[in-house]
Amino acid sequence: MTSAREAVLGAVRRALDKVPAAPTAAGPSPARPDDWTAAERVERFRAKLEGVGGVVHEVADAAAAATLLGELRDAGGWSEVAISDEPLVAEVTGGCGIEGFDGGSDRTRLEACDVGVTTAQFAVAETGTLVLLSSAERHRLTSLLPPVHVALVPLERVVTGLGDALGHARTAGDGSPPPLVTLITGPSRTGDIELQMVMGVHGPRDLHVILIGAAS
Amino acid sequence: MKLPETASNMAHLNANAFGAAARAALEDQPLRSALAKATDTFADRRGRVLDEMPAWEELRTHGNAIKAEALSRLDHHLAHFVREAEARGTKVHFARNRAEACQVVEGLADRLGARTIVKSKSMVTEEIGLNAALEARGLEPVETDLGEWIVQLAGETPSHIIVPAIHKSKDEIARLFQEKLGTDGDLDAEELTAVARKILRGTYLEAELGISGVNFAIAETGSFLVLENEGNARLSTSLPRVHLAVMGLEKLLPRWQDLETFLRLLPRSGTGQHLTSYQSIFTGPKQSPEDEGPDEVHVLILDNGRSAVLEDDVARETLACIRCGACLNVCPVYRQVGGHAYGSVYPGPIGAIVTPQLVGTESAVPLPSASSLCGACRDVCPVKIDIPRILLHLRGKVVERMPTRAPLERLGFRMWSLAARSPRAWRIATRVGRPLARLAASPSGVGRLARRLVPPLQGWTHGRALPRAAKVSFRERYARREA
Ligand code: SF4
Repeated sequence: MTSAREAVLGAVRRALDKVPAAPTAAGPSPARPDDWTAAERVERFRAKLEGVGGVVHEVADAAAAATLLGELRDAGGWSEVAISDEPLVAEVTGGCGIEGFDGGSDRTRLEACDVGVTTAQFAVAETGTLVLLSSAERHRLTSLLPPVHVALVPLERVVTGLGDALGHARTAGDGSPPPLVTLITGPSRTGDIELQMVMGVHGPRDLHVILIGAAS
Repeated sequence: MKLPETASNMAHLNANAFGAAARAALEDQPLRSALAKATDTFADRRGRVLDEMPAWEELRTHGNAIKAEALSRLDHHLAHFVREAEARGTKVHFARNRAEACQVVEGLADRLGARTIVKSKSMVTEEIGLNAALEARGLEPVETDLGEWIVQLAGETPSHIIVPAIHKSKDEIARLFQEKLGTDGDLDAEELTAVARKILRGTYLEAELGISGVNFAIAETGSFLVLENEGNARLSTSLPRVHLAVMGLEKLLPRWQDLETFLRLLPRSGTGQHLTSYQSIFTGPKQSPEDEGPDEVHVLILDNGRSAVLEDDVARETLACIRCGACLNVCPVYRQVGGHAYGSVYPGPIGAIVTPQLVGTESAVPLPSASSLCGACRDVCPVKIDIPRILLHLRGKVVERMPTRAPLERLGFRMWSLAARSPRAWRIATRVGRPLARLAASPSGVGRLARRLVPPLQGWTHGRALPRAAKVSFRERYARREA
C-alpha cells in the first residue's frame, strides 16, 4: 500500500505534469518603506503602535528606564513580575528594586503574576511591531500570559521595515530561523462580539514599550 | 429537480440547499442588519488602510506572481518543505482525504493519552469535521478563538471567515453563556470576553495537545506562520506539550522573503489592519530542555480534492486564496444571505468556487450561480483571483454534468441562436413572443399565474417586476415612419 505521503506528492506531481513553471517571483516586496532617519523611525513606531492601543515611552538610558518602570509598578500596583533571561531586563528591573522571577520556568506563578518584562530584538517602525526571537531570549510565555507586557527596546534596535527584521530572523538560529519568531503589534484584542473592540481577550491587555537611548 | 444531498469530503455540507437557505436568511432581519454592519465595517476599514498604501496594486501583482509560481511547481515546493521541516525536527504527516486526516490526529492524541485538546482557528479542521471525529472518541476539543468558542458552545457553525459568530447578537451570547456557563444573563461584551478568558486559561494549561491552522508555509526553511489578534493561537501552540498544525497543501510559499508581501496583503484585506496583533513563525520544536514551547511540532498536510484542482488551468488559481475574507465583505449575495446559506465551511464568493471543486459540482450545484458576476470580489482580492471567470467555468461544468437539466436549456438557447442569426426569424419570433411577454407582465390573473408557474419566470420575478414590452416594437415604428 502506498503511503499517504507518496500518494499526495504523486497526485500533485501528475496534476502539474503538463503545466509550465511560472516565472520566479523572487525579489524584494513592493511597498518597502524608504530608509527613515532614526528620529523618523521612532516617530513612526510610536504613531503606529499607539494607533492600536500600545503605549510608547522614551528614556535616555537603562537607569531612566528603571525609574520609569518603578513608576509604572507603583501606578499599576504590581507585586509579582515575571522576567525573561535577557541581561537588560535583569538590569532594569533590578534598578528599581523589582525582584523578578524567571517567567519561562514557573507556569503557575506566571499565570498569577501581574506583569511580564522582556526586550525585543527589533522594533519595526513601518507597522509599530516588536519582533522577538526565541534564539535571543526566552520570551514565549513571559510576553503572553501576564495581563501586562513591558518590552525594553534599545534605540538601535528600531528598524525601518518589516523586511529588515525578518531578514535577520531568517538566519538568527544558527543560519536557520529560530524555533519561534513572534511579531507583536499592540495588545491582545477581539471584535468577535458585535465587532466591539475588547482588549486582553487571551493575551496582555496592556502593552508598554520603553525605548531606551532616545534624547528624551 | 432532485439534487444529491451530501458528499463525503466536507463536514456539514448542505450546499444544494442554497436556494431555500438563502430565502430563509432574507427573512431574518436581525441577521441581515448584523451582516450589513460587519461587512460595511470591514470594507470601510480596508479602504482606509489602503489609502495609506499607494503601492497596493504592485503588492497584489507580487502576491499573485508568488502564488502562481508556488502552485505551478507545488510538487517541488512541498518536497522542499518536507525536507527542511524534517531536518529541523518537525514531524510531517500527509492525508489524502478527510478520514485519513482525522486518523492522523486521533493517532497522535492516543499516543499522548490526550483528553483535552485546544484549537485555534483553522478552517481546514472544520472542513474535515475534526471536532466531531475527536468527540466521537471521547476526547474534548475546545475552540479557543472567542468567536469560534461561542459558536462551539452554541453547537453551531461559523458564518464568516473572520468573525465566526457574526450572526449572533451580544444579548444572544449573554443568554448562551447564562445557559451553558451559569453567568448572569445581561453581561456586556467586556464581561463576556473576561468570562471566556478565565475559563479558557484553565483549558490551555490542562491540554496535552494544541492544534493550529497555517496561514503560510515556507518551503526553503520548513517554517510556517500563524496570524491572529487574540493570542489564543500563541497560547494553544505554547502551553501544550505537543503542537500540531493542519494545512491544505496549497499554503506553500517558496521563500521566507515572500512573507513580507503577504504580511502586507493579508491583514489589510481581512480586517483592515496594518498588521494583526500577533504573528508566530514556527520552525521546529525547542532545541534544548531549558527552552520554552512544545517538545514536538507536527504538521499535517491535507489534499482532500486539492490536487485535482491543480490540473485545471482555469480553476487552478482558486488555490491561491489566502482566506482573507475581503470578497465576502463586498459580495452583494453574501451581504444579504450570510455564511450559513452556502451550506459549506467556505462561504461567499471564494466558497462558491472552492466548495464545488472540493466536493464535486453535483454536490454544490447552486453555488456557481450564487453570484451576479459583478466582479467586486475579483477587484478586492489581494492575490487577484478572477472569481467571476472561475464561476462561469464551473457553471459550464454543472451543465455538462447535469444531463437532466441540460436539454430544455439547450433547446432554449438553440432557438435563441437561430432567431438571433436571421433577421426574418427574429421578426417572427418577436411578433409572436411580444403579446405573450406582455401577458406575462400584466397584472391580470393569467399574468400572475404565468409568473408563478412558467420557468424561468418565477426566479426572475420573485423579487422584482417583469418589465412590460411595448405594444409596437421600435423596428415596426421605424418602418412605419419611413413609409
Ligand atoms: S478569494 Fe481573494 S478576497 Fe476572497 S478570501 Fe481568498 S484571497 Fe481573500
